[in-house]
Amino acid sequence: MDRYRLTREPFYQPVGEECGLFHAAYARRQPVLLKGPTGCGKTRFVEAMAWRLGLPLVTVACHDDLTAGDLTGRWLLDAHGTRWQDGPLTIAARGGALCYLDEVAEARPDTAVVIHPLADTRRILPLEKCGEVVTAHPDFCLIASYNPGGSAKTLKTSTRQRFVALTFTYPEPATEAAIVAQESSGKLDVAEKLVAFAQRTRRLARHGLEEGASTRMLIHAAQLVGQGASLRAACQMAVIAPLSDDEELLLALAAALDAVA
Amino acid sequence: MPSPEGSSPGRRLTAYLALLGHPDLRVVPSQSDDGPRPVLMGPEVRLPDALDPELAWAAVAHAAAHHAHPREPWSGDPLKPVSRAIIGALEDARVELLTSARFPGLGRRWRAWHTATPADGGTFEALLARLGRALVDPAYDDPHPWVQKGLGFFFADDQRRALACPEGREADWRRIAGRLGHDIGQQRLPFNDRTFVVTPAYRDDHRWWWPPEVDPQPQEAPSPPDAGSTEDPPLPIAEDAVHRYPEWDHLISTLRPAWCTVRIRLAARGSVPEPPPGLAGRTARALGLAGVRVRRFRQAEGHDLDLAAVVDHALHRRLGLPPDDRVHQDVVRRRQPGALVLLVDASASTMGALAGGGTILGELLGMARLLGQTWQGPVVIRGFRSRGRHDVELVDLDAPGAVLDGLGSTRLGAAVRHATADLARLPGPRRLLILTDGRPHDIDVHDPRYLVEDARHALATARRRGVTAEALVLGDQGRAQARTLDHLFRRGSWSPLRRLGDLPGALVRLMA
Ligand SMILES: Nc1ncnc2c1ncn2[C@@H]1O[C@H](COP(=O)(O)OP(=O)(O)OP(=O)(O)O)[C@@H](O)[C@H]1O
Ligand SMILES: [Mg+2]
Repeated sequence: MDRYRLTREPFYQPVGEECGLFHAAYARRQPVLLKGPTGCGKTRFVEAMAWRLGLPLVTVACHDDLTAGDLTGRWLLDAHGTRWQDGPLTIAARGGALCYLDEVAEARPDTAVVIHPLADTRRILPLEKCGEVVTAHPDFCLIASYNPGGSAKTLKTSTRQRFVALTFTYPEPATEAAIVAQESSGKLDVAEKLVAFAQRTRRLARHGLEEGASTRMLIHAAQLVGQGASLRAACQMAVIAPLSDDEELLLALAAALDAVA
Repeated sequence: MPSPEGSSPGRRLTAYLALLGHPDLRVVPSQSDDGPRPVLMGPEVRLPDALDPELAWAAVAHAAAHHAHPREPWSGDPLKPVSRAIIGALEDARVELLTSARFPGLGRRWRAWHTATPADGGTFEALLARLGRALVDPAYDDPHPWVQKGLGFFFADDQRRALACPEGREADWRRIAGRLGHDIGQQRLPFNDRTFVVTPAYRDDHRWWWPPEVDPQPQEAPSPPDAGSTEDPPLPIAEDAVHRYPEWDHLISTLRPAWCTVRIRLAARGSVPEPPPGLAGRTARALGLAGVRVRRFRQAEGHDLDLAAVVDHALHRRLGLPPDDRVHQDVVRRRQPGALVLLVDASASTMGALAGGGTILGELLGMARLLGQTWQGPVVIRGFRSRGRHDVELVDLDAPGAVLDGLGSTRLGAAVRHATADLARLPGPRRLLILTDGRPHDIDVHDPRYLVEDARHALATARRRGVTAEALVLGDQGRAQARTLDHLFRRGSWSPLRRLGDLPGALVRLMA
């Protein structure tokens, strides 16, 4: 289990009441769903919570081809015969870790269903293939992230309703600038300019940009500035170019950057 | 379909306005009486079609500056033409300087268009352009006393930093314009209000500003070109039922409930051109590609090993049980044609002639017929056209000789919603194929993006319900409007073609 423990305290800047509310949910071992756009701090938040609770953190990146076996475990062969190997969900449930299912909506609905018995009052995980029923460790808790705007996929109602949900958005400008400066070890005034530009890009949903620039992108840009790039070149490379493939939007974004720079 | 509004510059510039903080404004093409100038009117920034792209950015930014620094409405007290021209220059400089403080790049952009110099001479127009430049460009020095006088009124300091009248109140502008205009009169410099145009060319003509009696009223808008002609008698109604469908309003991100009324009508009889020989066979082969990819596990043969099966195989051998040798996996295309709904665009624009003779609609009907004959599963064929949201027609084209005339407009979203509802009643894989010449358009909608966004929404809903939604776009619109069509139908889900003979190729591109 120790290899799932964080080795140093992650930097996490609270943006609202999310820490207190998470602790309340954890106290009753309620599964928590983190909703929000990409790169706004969901993963970092989970790491911070694991650190504060002193719990190991098992992370699973969910995708289309994820099978129930990938989560729960499977039989393997070795020199002497067969051996059962726990999957990440089982490891977390047995060992009393936080289990973080990143982008849970990407998993096929029938795969997501294996978490159901763990995510309600039963707190068990039946392992059909090896005939065992794992009872979750008292410390175990399930966390999942989900970006409602980022993909066409949604969660099954029966999965969704097992969770309590915390909604994440980009922090207030001052807070976000502080995060960007801290994470990039850069200057605050650069971070402030980046945040101001990012906010403009976040109002383009109606113009075909579902999600604007994320905090993550701004950190990248600030790091490039730290490496000696000009603010404008850094913004173009780390924010504008990765943001869209739509030529018209790219032109508008470049012109807007030119206006503020 | 003549819809230059949706052309890319408009989209790019409207996004630019949003980025500059004006999400409610939009860029649209000039109206017939606008002349070659940018015109600001309500939430619209109207730009001439062939405006230089750099000039367009500057014009849109200038519009943003006016909106960012609105002023109290003008009183309507009489004003001399010379004063009006001077006040225009003062107000333009005011909003641009205030805006440049937040957007230094915009100041740079505008200054690039100010090219007046003392060499332009001393006519009133030249002096006004020189003053206009001196007001926004601190690096420009103009020795003319009139220009210097104007700068002295406009700025509160010698460095041209602080504005004397940052609010641009009417009384202040009247006072300054009165003094400057008086000098013009003293020098007997002529001024012709009729031929005067505001400079530089990115600036609008301020018609939004002056009280109506000072400005010619915009003329009655001409009737839209795509509107249906009234002579055509309506087709007989196929069923009594009236279907109502919601419509997506992208501006408020809301489905307007029961917004469109769809009626099913019977087709007229006529002749549809016979497809060229051999085309049916090629079409059928292309359609053979329409299938779902399925990965099959535990196969006796295949390109890849199925690891789970391999492990089971070894396990069984260890345990002394008979092993199962089917340890491969492969991917096959399952030929499950399923149900197909064909939606044929029958708006007025499809009556346009094709290069090789015949009409677009004739060709679309030929395609529909060929597809109907070669598709293996159940097929439903509907023509669609509209005259506003209360009158969307879906014409039943299932019978062999069924034809219809192209008239009215294209309310694609409503047609798609009806087709989706139709498909929901059919079993198995479902497919919707739209045969069209371009983009949605209807007489009661002026926002060019509105129907595109609505149709896109309807298509997304259809896809969520498991319908494969695709389009074949006939004619020149396809390539010219690739980006709009990518947005509307989704990249890879539409295919352009020039004539009926291209159908097999287009189908392969779509379905393979
Ligand atoms: N509140 C915060 N405190 C500290 N760092 C933050 C915060 N919010 C965002 N970050 C920074 O932003 C980066 C991206 O955040 P994170 O990886 O948590 O995003 P995410 O929401 O999990 O995105 P995705 O949905 O794409 O996985 C982090 O690496 C971190 O540097
Ligand atoms: Mg993450």
